[in-house]
Amino acid sequence: MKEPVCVHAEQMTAWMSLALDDLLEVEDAKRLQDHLAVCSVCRSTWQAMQQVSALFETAPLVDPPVSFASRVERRLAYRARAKKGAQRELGKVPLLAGSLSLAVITLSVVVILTLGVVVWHWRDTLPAVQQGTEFIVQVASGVGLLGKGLSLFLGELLTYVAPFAFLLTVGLAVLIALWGWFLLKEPRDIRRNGVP
Amino acid sequence: MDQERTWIARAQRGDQAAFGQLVRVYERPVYNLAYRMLGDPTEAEDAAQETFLRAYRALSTYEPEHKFVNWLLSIASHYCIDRLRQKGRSVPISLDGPLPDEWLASDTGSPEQQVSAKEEREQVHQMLEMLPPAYRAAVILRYWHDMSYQEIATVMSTSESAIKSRLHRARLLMARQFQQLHGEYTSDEGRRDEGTGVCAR
Ligand SMILES: [Zn+2]
Repeated sequence: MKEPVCVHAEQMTAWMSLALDDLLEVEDAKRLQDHLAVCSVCRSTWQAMQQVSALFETAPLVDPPVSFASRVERRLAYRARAKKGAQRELGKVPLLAGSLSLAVITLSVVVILTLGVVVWHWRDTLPAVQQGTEFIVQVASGVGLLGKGLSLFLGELLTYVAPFAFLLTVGLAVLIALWGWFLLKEPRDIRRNGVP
Repeated sequence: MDQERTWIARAQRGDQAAFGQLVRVYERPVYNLAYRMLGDPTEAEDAAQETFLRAYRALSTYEPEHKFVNWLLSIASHYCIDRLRQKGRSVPISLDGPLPDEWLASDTGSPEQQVSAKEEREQVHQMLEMLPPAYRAAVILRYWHDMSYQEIATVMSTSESAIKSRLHRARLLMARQFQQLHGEYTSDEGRRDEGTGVCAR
């Protein structure tokens, strides 16, 4: 069955909505009334709008569950504890890494300085040191060549392996993210029961 | 009001007990918004809890020139809208599921009154459920939270004219739904006056 239509419906329904909120200007209210007197389509819409509005106006506010606030408090306390715990754990990582690298750097400096002093002191008197120095020079240039070769090799490798390397990196990142999520996530049932 | 300001200030400094007082004062409006938005008591409680947790984290951004309750309702409405959009569906209404305490307590009339109260509940749910999330929020803030267009606009981070339009559209959609449910347009009344059924006045 074809629904009846009204070419003024857009304007009229906009006014109806304002009228329901007591925001319609007096002149527009008069025009709306005049239109409603002659248009059954808009009259029917107006009645439906008023009825829905009345339905909502009488629908009561509902009460939250009795223990709602204490559950929120427990979740807050739990999060604060979890955050502190995570900060403590995470705080250890830079400390450990920092002290380890400091130890390595200090040790390397001590070793290099000692070697340097030894080599400098006996550079002419000890043929072994002389030979050693030359050897080190040779090794150094060898290492330089090796490094160059390695970088060429890696460059070549990357052009072919880049997609795989990329995927591997992404995969690793996802795994790390998943682990992080798993470890840091607040267990779901705590939302219902508060503290674990 | 002064008491509220004190609690807010203390909560901003990390006092969870003070925030707990704020939760007790405002749990009802926040829970109601979530309940009407999501249509399910369990989901509503989860969303209301999440609202307060988010509010606690964001307390430093609260500006005292706004009503605290409106700030909370703003967080709640954005959260519920996001939640509905993420799900990409209207949350099915669990009319057979557990009902909030108030409703059960208020169902104390005669059997007939109880039936009609239940019907009204179902109708309210049906009307709200068919609305897009942003329309739904505007309607709920207007009817259950008695907000002006200006307040709704602030809460929903939009303009007053957008709210005017959303309420208009929402009411039109619901009126059509109501007419369908009550068999309008099938009567002859619509055509008797105008003959062709087209009104051009
Ligand atoms: Zn009309």
